[in-house]
Amino acid sequence: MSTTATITKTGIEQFATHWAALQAEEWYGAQPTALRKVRSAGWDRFARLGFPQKGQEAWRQTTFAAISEGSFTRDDVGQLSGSDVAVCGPPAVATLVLVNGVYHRSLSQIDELPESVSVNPLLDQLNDGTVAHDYFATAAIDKEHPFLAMNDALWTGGVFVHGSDADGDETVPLHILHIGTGEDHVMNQTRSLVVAEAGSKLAVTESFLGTPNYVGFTNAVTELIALDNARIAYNRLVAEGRKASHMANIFVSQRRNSKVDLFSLSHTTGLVRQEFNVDLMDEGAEITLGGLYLVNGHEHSDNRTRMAHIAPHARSRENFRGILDGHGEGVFNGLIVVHPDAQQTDADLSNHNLVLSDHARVHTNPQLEIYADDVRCTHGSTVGQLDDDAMFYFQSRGIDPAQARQMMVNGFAYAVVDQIGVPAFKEYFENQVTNWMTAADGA
Amino acid sequence: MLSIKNLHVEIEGQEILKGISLEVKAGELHAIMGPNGAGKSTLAQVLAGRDACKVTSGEIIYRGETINDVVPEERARAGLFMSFQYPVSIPGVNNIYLLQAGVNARRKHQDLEELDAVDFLDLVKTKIAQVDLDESFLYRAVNDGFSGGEKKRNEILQMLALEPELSILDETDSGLDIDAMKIVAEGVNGFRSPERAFVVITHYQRLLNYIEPDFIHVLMDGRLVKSGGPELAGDLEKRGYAWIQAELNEAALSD
Repeated sequence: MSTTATITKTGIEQFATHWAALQAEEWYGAQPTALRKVRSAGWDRFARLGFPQKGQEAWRQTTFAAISEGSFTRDDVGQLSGSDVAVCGPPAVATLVLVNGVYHRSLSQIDELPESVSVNPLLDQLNDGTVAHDYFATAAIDKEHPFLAMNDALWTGGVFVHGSDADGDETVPLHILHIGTGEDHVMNQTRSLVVAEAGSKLAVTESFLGTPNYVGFTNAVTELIALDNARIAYNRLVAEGRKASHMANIFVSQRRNSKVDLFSLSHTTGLVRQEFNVDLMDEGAEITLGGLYLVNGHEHSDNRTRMAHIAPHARSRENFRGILDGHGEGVFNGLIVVHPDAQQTDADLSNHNLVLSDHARVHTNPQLEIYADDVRCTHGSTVGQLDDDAMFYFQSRGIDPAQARQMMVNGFAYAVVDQIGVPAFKEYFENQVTNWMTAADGA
Repeated sequence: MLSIKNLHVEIEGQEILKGISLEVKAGELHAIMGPNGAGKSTLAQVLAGRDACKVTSGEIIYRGETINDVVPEERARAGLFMSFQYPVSIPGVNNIYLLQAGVNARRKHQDLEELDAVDFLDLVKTKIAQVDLDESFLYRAVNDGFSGGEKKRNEILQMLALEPELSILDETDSGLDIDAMKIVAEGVNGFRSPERAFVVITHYQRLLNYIEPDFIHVLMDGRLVKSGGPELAGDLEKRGYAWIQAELNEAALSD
């Protein structure tokens, strides 16, 4: 096997086997040359970089060592029916379903879409000269990231969402549903590309769920590209199960006067690491980046954001919240970088955490790097417990502590969920949060 | 209605109330006045059941039952209400949800049917008009971003909605301009009845221009040192609290 010759790091042997197997598959050879080049380059980088080591600053608090030591299968596609899938996710005009990283036409539901919007499996869309081909891997530029490198090489399925019409004013909710299934350490390498052409408008929820007892590793990459005056509402849900590990790299690239509303919710997943990379490339670009991480049991959730103000007159509003219960652990690293030319930058970053148990922990670290002189940047983070004064206030109105606690925790969470602009999505995410709290109370 | 017997209370090991006794009957309104640091808020909070206020001896008897060990929510459901000097803001929790949860907890305790959202809204709309707050306040987070006056009117709204038998109003007049104070006073006056009792705690006498007490008590250094009728307010207005302290010192010397 020629590929094994490139292995220089430990822990990647099994992935080398997957890489070799992938190359031997029929569809692999049918891919356009450019795409195969991206894959080969990805593999070479991954083989050079290896798995992140504990000594690396960016990986101090989160380890995927168990993944490098584990043994994963790629092809355990379990039995799922359309009705299993129908109950998952928000009401959407189109739901594209991937099971263990592979697109399933029979489970997907695509009603009549307006001409302004298209959704398709990404693998079919990357031929030379297509829009997807032009934009693929243009926002995902963190070339030293081992998991992006791994994904570049090994991704098996994903979705291309394309908004092409500047006149389409109606919101067309789309859902990309990734389901992990199987108990035999399933590997799930997915790739999504969302491109909103000038003036167009897209509303997408991408969710990652696991069937009961799912054991697996997801390595997801999503690229969001908003061209001039485009709008993208992108909501992300990760709830794959206690025995699932989820690594995600999300890249956002924004052009002039574009607006992106990104919201991320993660809960009930053993290990989560999500990295949000935003490049505000042109003047007038605007983003709201919101997130909520809910951890319980021995779960670990790490959210990392890099907000790059590259051009002047761009605006970012970033607000992540965490609720930590049981023996859960949360990590938040938020970085705003203001480039030298990015005068009149307007950036806010906040991270608030609510710790509900003596055994839960959270690390929060907001950072600013400012190389321009005329900017407005604020950042702040808090770690707190339920407020005794507020608890007494509820009690003094006749409300028992359990209900008071639930109302306060709900209130803390809804303050960020509230920023989801698409009503159907908002209700879905609210229900996710409510169900998590109800389950946590019963635990 | 309320009977306090030789009540001693500590906060973090420090004795704040040093033997308070007070009888409040249905239909009565008692004002408790005193300088800063006398223990007024501690008295209000211990009656409401705050666990940081530790009763070291004495008894609180509410409607015939000793409630020293009764948790705050049960006191509230039994009709004991305290209006906070500093109402707590609770981001993310809508005012109307708090109100509805409180009212329904009390109704459940009274074996009444809980009100659904529609019936509750009807009820609360009539109450909110009485405190001259806009209905939009129902849908805002509890006290979050409210002005001082709005917070106090919101407290009175809660009182009107919960319909308590005993209302303890802790410095409800502090931070209010004269118009807001009139609204609060009208809220309280309209709510007075032979079945209800009030303990109104205040630093200044001016609220008592609008709410007429049956009795006035002066609280100093953890003790009720003087009691009298409404006329006592005028003396305190003119002379402050120092003369009472002087009287006390003199009495102590002559012992």
